[in-house]
Amino acid sequence: MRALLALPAALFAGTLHAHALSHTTQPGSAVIVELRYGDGSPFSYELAEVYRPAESVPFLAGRTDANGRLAFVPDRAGDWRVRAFSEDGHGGDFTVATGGEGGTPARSEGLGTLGGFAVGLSILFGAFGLWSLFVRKKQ
Amino acid sequence: MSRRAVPLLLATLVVAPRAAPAHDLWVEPDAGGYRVLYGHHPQVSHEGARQIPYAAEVVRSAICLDAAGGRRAATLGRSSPVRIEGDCAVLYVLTSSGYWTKTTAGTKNVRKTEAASPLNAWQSFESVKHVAAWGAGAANSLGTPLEIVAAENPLALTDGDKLTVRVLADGKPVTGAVVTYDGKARGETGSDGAVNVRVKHGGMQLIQAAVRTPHTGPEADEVVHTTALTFALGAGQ
Repeated sequence: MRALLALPAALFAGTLHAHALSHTTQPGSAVIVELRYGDGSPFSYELAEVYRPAESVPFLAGRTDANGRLAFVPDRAGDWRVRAFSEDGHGGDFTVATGGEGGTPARSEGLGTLGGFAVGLSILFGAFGLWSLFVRKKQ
Repeated sequence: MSRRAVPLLLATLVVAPRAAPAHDLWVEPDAGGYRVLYGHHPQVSHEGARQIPYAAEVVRSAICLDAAGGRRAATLGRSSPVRIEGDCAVLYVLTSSGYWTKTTAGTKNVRKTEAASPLNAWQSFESVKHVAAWGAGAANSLGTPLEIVAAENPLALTDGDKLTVRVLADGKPVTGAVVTYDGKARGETGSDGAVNVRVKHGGMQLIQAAVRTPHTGPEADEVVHTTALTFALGAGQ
């Protein structure tokens, strides 16, 4: 019976994990590329691709932000190719030389989903332990 | 959204790459006529000429004149790049790629009323006037939506000479239009639509002006019309 009850719970937990997304925030260094039209207005919301040195598969594919900027965190030194283009034919294709130092930012101590879950459990167990000690002393 | 504030995000390098260049419309003499080209004019782009494919339908009309200003027949080709058959002392070509809307998913070739998440929209027109021979045809206004008219014979210029040009919309002077030479701003038109441009080299000359006017109707916010005056000097003639 216990096994029968545990099965849907396990499946549900699996579904949660499949859809949940862990994240971390970390300080570090990024390359920010700013693109502008000839009249100075930002090349905003347009398609952009970034390629590692000598690679043909994009390292990053996305869009420029409202200010016409895109940012990427290089994980190696060299000439990174940046392409940005719009449907009306505007665009740029150039390289950005990046140094190896600081290319890979150090991770912070941010917690992912599993880490948070473990900490939560620890707090619960700790609280239960304290409560048990308090009750025993009273008896 | 993170529950923790991001401690620091450092930009190791802020790069301001070559600004995305505006596009140019020009005509190139071809046997018995001209080819209408679009892209980066060789006088403007440091990386050389680059043609951008366009649909033949964007070429709306062409005016072909003899040196005296008389109309001559001009036949528009149906494939891109469009070829115009005709012996023209002055050739004026009007194109329009229609409506363009900036959205959060990029710039789309649709009306503002048809776009998802529109930010701003414009109706685009581009035109070019090529002067192959001087005369009344080149000296007078064609009465087109936008044009640049040379005040004197530009074909007689040499390096360093000054040329007065007038920017006209429907034959009337346009005030405050920025005029460029080889893609670089050279001045703003006065109340008479005039500005002086100094010729800096032989060969093909490219003088451009762009005018923005409010659009009537919800399809766009403004009408953007870019026009060019081209002519060749020296051996380029």
